[in-house]
Amino acid sequence: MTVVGEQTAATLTLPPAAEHVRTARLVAVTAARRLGLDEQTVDDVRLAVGEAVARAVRRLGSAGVDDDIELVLRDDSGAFVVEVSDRAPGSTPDDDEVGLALVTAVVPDAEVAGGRVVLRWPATS
Amino acid sequence: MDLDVSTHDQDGIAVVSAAGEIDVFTAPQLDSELSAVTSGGQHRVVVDLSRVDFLDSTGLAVLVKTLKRVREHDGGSLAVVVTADRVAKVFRLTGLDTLIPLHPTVESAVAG
Repeated sequence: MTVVGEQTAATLTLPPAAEHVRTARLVAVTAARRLGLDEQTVDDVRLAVGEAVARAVRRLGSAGVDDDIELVLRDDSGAFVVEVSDRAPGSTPDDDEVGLALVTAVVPDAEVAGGRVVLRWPATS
Repeated sequence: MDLDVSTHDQDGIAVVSAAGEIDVFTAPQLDSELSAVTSGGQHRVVVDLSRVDFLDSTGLAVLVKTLKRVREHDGGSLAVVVTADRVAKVFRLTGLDTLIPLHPTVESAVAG
């Protein structure tokens, strides 16, 4: 973990293969628990991060780009923020509507734009 | 990490049981088992997810595909056994629980 200003962040790079999606889920769940999120929210983190990383794997696969996926986990003044980035070309189609529907259902603040997904859970008091 | 998948017959219904996590990596294992069952002429299917502690959209897609297959046949049916809240939630959020009945036990799923 590296501390940047008032934020605590961890970065993980993953090869674009389906077998690594589980690793991303485990890392995100561990970080969410460390931040003190309740178990129901931790379940939401597990699901949403899994869907976002699976999406990146699919995008890179369909674009034929063998490039790592970047996962950034941040504590933003108590809010838990997860960013999933891939470098598949902008024209890569996103065909998984169900996966995205799940993400928007369990993340209070989700932003999906091309190869970048930002998931944000507000601070719990 | 693999998913354990097995099938047995119970009262003329194929009960396909999975144990582990169903995601983009492991869902193909469930898909191939369910495809083998329906291709083999069995169209009354129960998928037992009571030992599954995680299910994502790729797992749901496998179930939707199976639902379409069994519905092509008279008397075809698909039911799912779910005990973990975390797994049931994924069905509820997508509304899939209105298309595929969720049961607490294999016995109640087989009984319909």
